[in-house]
Amino acid sequence: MGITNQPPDLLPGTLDMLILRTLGRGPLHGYAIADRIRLVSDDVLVVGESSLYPALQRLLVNGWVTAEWGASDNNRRARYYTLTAAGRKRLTSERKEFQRLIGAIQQVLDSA
Amino acid sequence: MPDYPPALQSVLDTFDLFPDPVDRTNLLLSYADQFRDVPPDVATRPFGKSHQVPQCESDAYVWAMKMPDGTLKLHFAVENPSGVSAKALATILDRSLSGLPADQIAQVDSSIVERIFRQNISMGKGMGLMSMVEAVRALARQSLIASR
Repeated sequence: MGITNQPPDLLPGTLDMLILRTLGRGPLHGYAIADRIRLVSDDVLVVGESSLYPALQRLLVNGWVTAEWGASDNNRRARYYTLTAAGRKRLTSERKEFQRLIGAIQQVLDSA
Repeated sequence: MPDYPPALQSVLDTFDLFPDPVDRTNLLLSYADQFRDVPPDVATRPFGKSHQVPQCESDAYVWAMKMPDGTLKLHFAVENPSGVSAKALATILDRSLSGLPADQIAQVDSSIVERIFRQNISMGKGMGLMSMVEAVRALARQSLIASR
């Protein structure tokens, strides 16, 4: 399952941006990332494992996050993801592009 | 355990973080998605046989260009459209070895293939991928000899 309540082909790359933003507050394991996105979005954005983990791996391959083993709150072994300097830069540019896109969509909606 | 260049070690550490075969496959697919074909200013089709990787089922080719600072830049072509493993390895080798001096590249051994792919590949495909690493090493050695 991907992000629900949102057409997945409308805003490509949105999930990557949300993950990068979520990691901006500090390292988190996968489940905690999905949980925080769900909480902050008031349960609107529910990210499933099948989209979360491939997205995290994409971010790893691009060098935008790093990963290392750590212990979760319940003392279980978990992979913790950390935003890199390159990831922070990427987030900044993605946010700008996203705002531009949202502004353009809003303009169309307002004019219709 | 051999001493690898830091960028390559980082890739190997990343793969070690994902023992699950499905996770590793997704990771390999992510690398394969980033594959970039050799640019036309380096080589154009039909590619010379001297750049072809022996035993590689994916019909891979490799080039090592000497840069002004003395380091090497690796380029690859993978002619088999379904050569996902070869494209993934090519991306990893380019990202982790390009920009290094030839002597460091020549020291990387083909055992990295086992660490990256583990159970994700057949023995035949494994030989082809190890051959890719060997081809890169051979080019690095050639560059070293040429610069003496």
